Amino acid sequence: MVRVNLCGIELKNPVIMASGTFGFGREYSAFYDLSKLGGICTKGLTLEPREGNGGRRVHETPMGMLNSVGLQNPGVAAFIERELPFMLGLGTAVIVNVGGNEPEDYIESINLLNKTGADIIELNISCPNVKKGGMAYGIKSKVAHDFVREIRKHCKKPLMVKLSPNAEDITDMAAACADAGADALSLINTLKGMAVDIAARKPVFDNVFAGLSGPAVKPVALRMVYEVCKAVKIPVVGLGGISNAADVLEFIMAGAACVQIGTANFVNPMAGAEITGELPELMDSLGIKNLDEIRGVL
Amino acid sequence: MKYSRAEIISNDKITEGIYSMKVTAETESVKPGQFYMLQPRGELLPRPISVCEIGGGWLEFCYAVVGAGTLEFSEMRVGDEINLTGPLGNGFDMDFINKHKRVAVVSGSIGIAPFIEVCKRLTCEYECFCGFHGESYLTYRFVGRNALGTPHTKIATDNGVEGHRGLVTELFDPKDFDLILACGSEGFSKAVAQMCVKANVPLLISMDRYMACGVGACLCCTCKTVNGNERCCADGPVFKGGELLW
Ligand SMILES: Cc1cc2nc3c(=O)[nH]c(=O)nc-3n(C[C@H](O)[C@H](O)[C@H](O)COP(=O)(O)OP(=O)(O)OC[C@H]3O[C@@H](n4cnc5c(N)ncnc54)[C@H](O)[C@@H]3O)c2cc1C
Ligand SMILES: Cc1cc2nc3c(=O)[nH]c(=O)nc-3n(C[C@H](O)[C@H](O)[C@H](O)COP(=O)(O)O)c2cc1C
Ligand code: FES
Repeated sequence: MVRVNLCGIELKNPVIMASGTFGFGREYSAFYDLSKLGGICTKGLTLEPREGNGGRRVHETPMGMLNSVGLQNPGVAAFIERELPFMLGLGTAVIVNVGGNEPEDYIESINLLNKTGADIIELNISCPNVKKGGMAYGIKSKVAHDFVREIRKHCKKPLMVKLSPNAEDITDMAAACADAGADALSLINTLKGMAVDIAARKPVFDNVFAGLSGPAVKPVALRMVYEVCKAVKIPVVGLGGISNAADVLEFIMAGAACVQIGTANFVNPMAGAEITGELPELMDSLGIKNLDEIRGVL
Repeated sequence: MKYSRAEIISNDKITEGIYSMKVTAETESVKPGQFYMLQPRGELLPRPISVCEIGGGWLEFCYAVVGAGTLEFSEMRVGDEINLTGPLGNGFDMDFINKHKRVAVVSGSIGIAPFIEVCKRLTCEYECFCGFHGESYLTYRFVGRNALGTPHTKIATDNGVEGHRGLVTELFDPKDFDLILACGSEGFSKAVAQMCVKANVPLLISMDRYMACGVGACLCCTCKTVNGNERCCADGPVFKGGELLW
């Protein structure tokens, strides 16, 4: 009733844990059996290990949070050696989120991952491109198109491109990535925001800007998923502020193939187990027999 | 560690802005210095609060009202339920601590909270040095009803209303001890750490960081250490003073 096929990978259900909010699964495996999940996206990985940002990394906002973790991660090689074997034993789909600066770094990361048992590559295009003067790949459709086409040539796994809500035009961006060979899209990444420490008369974050997530962004995320689903034929994975099974159905009705859960894991470490458990019950109570029946009904 | 719902057994005001909340909990595996993430209903993220006292079937938290979440906690009544996750973090290793001869327990403001249970379990010689803002020293009178309330406790207040007028760091010389335990604000922690490094006396310090997940997954709470970034919630909150980079 809730099984989903996401670009050739069979998922038990449409509920995937979002990148950066679930580590590599270890911490949450102490709370529940992660084989209940449709899949897990890893923390964003780069070719070389990264220390991440200095200063404050989180600031709570009304029903949301700003984060400035800055891609702290052990690097792709260390991930493959130390974390991937654990993840592959969890009995759920493993989606590896890849970030970086230079296209060469991304390509090298993907070449390493091609040889592993990872199910899907999720390409994070919100990172700044140093060669293009620090502009993120995820802002201009043309830049994203060229970048995704290049990555596609090297990626032997299903390629899911994660879109930033900060893109100039989200439907144009989605179409560009689909045209460049993406097998699926996921959206949204965090919204660019900021906060001020009025006592210190300074921005809260050393980087000034930070990424907004949580229930506060859900209406915007839902609108973007709805628009993108109308604009492309490839599967779309919806996320942004999803906290319960009702939110999941909203995104599926907007056209999403499946969904990801991010910030909700922080509110309740059992979120993944509870949402996957509640989903069939909620569908039952609404007379929904399977997800295909409601996907994109709007 | 577990996500569960607890019942509030008591929630009393100790002094202006300082409260003590007792909740039902399984406490067999809880260690002093560990903490729980307590969920205010009206806010998104849960709040990290240290275990202040560990009883049979109950836990006590001692907290300062500083914002919306802790204000909500202060308004909760006996019989209300609260969602919490824990016990979290490493806590204080009492076996290791009790191998020392003379231990100094140093706290800044509400940083006294984790030391109530610690002091109950200290079997070595120790002295306590507690710093407070003004009248909040009354926290000490309340929570000091246990082991902390020895004649060996010295107090500093910023306005001199009780004990030494000035900073708690002016009350002791690390060289008189072979281990220092500390917990307080970031400024306090840095000052104590610098004193201990200078005096070459080992320090175990419980660090305060803004958190999101509390379980080690999000990397929002990292502390810079000689081993690279470590997570305050999962690798800490208790760190070896000599390993922290400021
Ligand atoms: C390991 C640990 C143990 C702690 N133990 C205690 C304790 O025993 N008693 C106690 O009174 N306080 C303790 N604190 C501090 C306590 O977590 C904050 O005072 C509390 O989160 C403030 O929440 P608020 O909603 O009232 O404040 P707000 O300022 O409204 O909170 C906004 C956001 O910032 C966070 N935040 C604000 N101040 C702090 C802070 N100092 N540290 C971490 N996060 C903060 C909140 O969690 C929330 O997400 C501890 C902190 C840590 C990290
Ligand atoms: C602390 C934190 C770290 C994140 N790290 C990453 C990351 O490394 N790569 C990535 O693509 N997205 C990252 N994200 C974005 C989330 O995967 C997700 O797109 C976003 O938070 C919106 O979903 P949510 O509202 O359900 O959290 C991070 C989000 C948070 C809150
Ligand atoms: S608060 Fe998430 S890793 Fe510590």
